[in-house]
Amino acid sequence: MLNLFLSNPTANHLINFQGTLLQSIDLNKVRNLKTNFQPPSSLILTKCFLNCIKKDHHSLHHKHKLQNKNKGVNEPCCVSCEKRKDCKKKECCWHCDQELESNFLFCSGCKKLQPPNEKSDYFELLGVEKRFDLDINKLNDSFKNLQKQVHPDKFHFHGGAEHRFSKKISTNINRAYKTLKKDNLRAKYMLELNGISSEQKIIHDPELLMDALEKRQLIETAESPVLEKMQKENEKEKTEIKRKLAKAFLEKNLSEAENYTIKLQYLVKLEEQLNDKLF
Amino acid sequence: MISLIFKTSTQLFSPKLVTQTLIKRFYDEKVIDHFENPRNVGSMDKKKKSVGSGIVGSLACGDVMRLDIDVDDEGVIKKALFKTFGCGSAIASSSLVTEMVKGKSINEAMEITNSEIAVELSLPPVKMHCSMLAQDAVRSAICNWKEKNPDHFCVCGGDEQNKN
Repeated sequence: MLNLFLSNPTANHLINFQGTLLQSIDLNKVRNLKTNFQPPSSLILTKCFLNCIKKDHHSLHHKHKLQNKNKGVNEPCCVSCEKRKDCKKKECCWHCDQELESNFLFCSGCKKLQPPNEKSDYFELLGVEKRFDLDINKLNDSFKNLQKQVHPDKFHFHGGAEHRFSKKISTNINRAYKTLKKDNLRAKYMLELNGISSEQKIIHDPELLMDALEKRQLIETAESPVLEKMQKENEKEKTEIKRKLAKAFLEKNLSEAENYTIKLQYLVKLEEQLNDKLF
Repeated sequence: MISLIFKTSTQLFSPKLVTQTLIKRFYDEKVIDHFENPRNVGSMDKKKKSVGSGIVGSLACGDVMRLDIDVDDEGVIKKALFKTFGCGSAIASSSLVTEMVKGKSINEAMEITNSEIAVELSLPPVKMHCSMLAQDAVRSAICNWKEKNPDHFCVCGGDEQNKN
């Protein structure tokens, strides 16, 4: 197990920065043996390290260790994996080499923040069910709880690695939350997860589009009572479409899901225009 | 001396100049022109045989674009009108396309590509789908006219979903 050490050139012991005595080594002997010294595998000592008393120099050592660790992709990721013969190359903590649990944010051993998991999708990232009709309150709570843990402001003084990870993770979580919060964006994302890209798609349904065009024209010219009525009708239609869309996704009926997503997009756009006009 | 410096500095940082510079950075002049002075806004009577009407929408932003063309007996587009609900780039693309198709034959108009529109308006990558929409609107209008006038032989760009 590797820890950050603060060494005092006059002391004869090595203690970690929390002040607990870890190992009692005769440093004078070690210094004399500089040339022939072969450190044990669990302890890394360098020339400058022995004489160093500054904290920032230690973070530099930490960076070297981190760079060495991330070199080969096919190599066993940590010391404990090397020793284990049945290693399945599970993820290991970059700091303490302990095996990490799945969906990890922090190491269970040393509690350090881990690098972002690139494979997880937005639902897994926020810890919510992978369905269209998810609980919005649960989503909001989950988002707030996660940001409380990983926001970069909490990691300013924790060293370069954790601060960098926290920035990436926080950005990912923000992006995931923005997508899953809105109905139309969530529907489009779920279609993408199932292999249907919606970015370049052009719609040719004349009925739907003429209806949308006429309504948009009406919004421009009509008075408040008419608009309020439109708003209520729009809300009803939206609830109905959302119910059908949730069902289509559960049954994995992707063509229907696509159709309903298109309708939902136009209803949402109409709602935005109505809100702009009325408020 | 001090009053001279003050005068020139206020001229340099006048609100009008600042906003003009900002607008230039975000929107091309031509887009602003088409947005503020759109050409050929309106719609035609769909029931007329010489009128082809195309309506397209984009899933990315929920925009709607309608394009009506009036074609004479020789297959040349006399007039084009548009109605678009969407961003400035979408409005500019459709306004430009109505000007581009005027005087062209059906086949020539079918070959208008989104890159021509995008280059003319200097559209940024994020607004490329607006030019795609305008291109599809033209083709949709032409296909609609061909359905009404099957005796004129032309090649349709492939708009099988557009049923009248």
